[in-house]
Amino acid sequence: MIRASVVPTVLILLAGCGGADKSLPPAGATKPASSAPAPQQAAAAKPAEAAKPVPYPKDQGTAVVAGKITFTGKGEPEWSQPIDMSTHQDCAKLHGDKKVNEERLVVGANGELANVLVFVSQGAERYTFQPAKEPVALNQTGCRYEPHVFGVMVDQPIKITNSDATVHSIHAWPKKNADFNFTQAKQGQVDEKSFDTAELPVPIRCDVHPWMQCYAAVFEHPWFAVTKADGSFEIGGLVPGPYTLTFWHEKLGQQTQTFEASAGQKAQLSIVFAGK
Amino acid sequence: MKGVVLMLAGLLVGVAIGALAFSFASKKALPDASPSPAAAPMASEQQVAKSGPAEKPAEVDESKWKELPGFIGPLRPVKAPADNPTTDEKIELGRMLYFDPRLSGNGALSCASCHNPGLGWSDGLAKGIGFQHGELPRSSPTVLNAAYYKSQFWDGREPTLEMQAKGPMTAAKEMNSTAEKVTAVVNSIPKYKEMLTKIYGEANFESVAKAIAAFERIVVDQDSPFDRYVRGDENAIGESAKRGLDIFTVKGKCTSCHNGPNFSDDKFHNIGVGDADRGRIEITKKDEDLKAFRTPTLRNIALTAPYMHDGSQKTLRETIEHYERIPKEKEKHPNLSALMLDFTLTEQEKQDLEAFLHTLTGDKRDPRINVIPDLPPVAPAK
Repeated sequence: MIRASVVPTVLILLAGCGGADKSLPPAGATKPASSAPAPQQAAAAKPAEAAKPVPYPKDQGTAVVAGKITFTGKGEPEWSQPIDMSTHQDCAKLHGDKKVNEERLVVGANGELANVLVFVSQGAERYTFQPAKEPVALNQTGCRYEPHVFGVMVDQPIKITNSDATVHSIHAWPKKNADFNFTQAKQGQVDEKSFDTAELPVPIRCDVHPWMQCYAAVFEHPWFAVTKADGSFEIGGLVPGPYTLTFWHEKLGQQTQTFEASAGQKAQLSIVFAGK
Repeated sequence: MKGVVLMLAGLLVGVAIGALAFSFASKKALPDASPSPAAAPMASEQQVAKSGPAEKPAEVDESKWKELPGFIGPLRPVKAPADNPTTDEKIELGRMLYFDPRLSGNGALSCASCHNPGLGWSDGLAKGIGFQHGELPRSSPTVLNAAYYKSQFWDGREPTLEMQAKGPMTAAKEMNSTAEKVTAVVNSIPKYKEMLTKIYGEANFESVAKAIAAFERIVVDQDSPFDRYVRGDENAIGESAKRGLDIFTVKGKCTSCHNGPNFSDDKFHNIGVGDADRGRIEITKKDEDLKAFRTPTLRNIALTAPYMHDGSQKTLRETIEHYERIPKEKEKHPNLSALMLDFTLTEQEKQDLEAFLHTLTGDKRDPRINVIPDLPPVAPAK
């Protein structure tokens, strides 16, 4: 009986991935998904040839994977309800009568699911990459984080800006990386931070405004994207070969999908997160 | 007995059904996928289910914990530095040294004089009383949970408990001894000499500080009514405390600084305490640290009155009202922290906040810290 109550949770978190586009070749590594779903599974399913990674051959990075993610269920109300900023007038006054909603689940009119982190979870280990020099922007505006979810490479700078005329305290809570916690008391203040170890997810929160939270994901490769408001994503620069993509959502859990990247081709995936 | 067996069998069947349902769901969900999906929130639960009768205790399933602003919640185990891992022997030795007044210049003061287990591991005074009854410049911080700080002392001038332990022993106003005297004393006490040499390879001031630090790493509170509430026991704290928790995290904006499992951001802030103490600026020489002091833990806060680095606030109520008042008179406090944010609470809200703070008192300590040890004798005169 105890277990019975857990099973539906599993279903909600993991069930419901739409099939890959029919034009795709069958998945490369075809270990059936029926064995015990232990976290180590991904490692066990890695191709046997643990070849030494080679520098990323940029000229061969001509394949693209793109797609759209939809959500077919219902989330918990608190994942998307209007935020009560009445205790923090510094923020409330920035919005007047306009309501600002929680962004833990952002779904469009036709189920388009935003803020899903899409990343290559198998395939990138074949290559080594230079850290990106161009900073990733994290903006605090209207007492919200923009973006709400973002990927960043190891050692890539994160440019953090306070666009609000109030104080924010940016506090990262990693488990593998060094944490950071600093205050931006002035509007327009900019600071740069970075992480030196791959990690997902790293929650970032404002210590002053309890609803303000976002997630960083740190990768050793550049093959990641976050779905836009229309549920779409695109990752380019892939070298032809077999890959696994992981789709991570802060409340809906994660799922994976294999595909074969072909030179000069754009693979299309259609992914569904099912809810209640 | 039979009932227990039946229950266990039922649980196993339940697990099997769960696993079946799971793999079915995976198959159906991911027709083309190679690895099974592993949702992050499920990982620890599966590890628990799989582990069986392992030597190691099952991992704690944190996915069921309440997630609160500022990540306030249960503490993880204390981490000891690589060069001083905690052992039973060190704890026993460190505990004796902690209570031993012979380590002071006049044989009258021990660590426990100002950090008294019976007084919340502090002294109940606004400011400590040091060598020959002189008043010390600051309030004695509690040792409880000091092991979790990233730096020690009100001004954070030392990074570790090992470094901290040396300070009061040799400060003229405190225990007023010297490194040489402490080394001589422990060498005159056979048991100390033997244990320090055995454990650390040398009986001296350095190894004394290490042993005291090892003991202090078990002087921690990791379980309180609040922790049990976060872990899922809805009855662990009362209704007033639950409202107080909400005030703590939202309206009172307390988690601006008192955040994380130990209720401290490990940073230094000027919160408008009125004495002449210049605080951390004396260490860093940076203007921003003028009158800045380390955010103290709030665990066991009900045991450690009076409050602030100068002990100027006698009660929790006075302290709450300090935070309520200071942001309204910002102009009087140069370099006031930007995190001293304005809020106003009703009488009921203040009571609720106090009720919440009382739920942070630990009640399941390591029994080894509740023992006052017998101290070993000096070597008989030859």
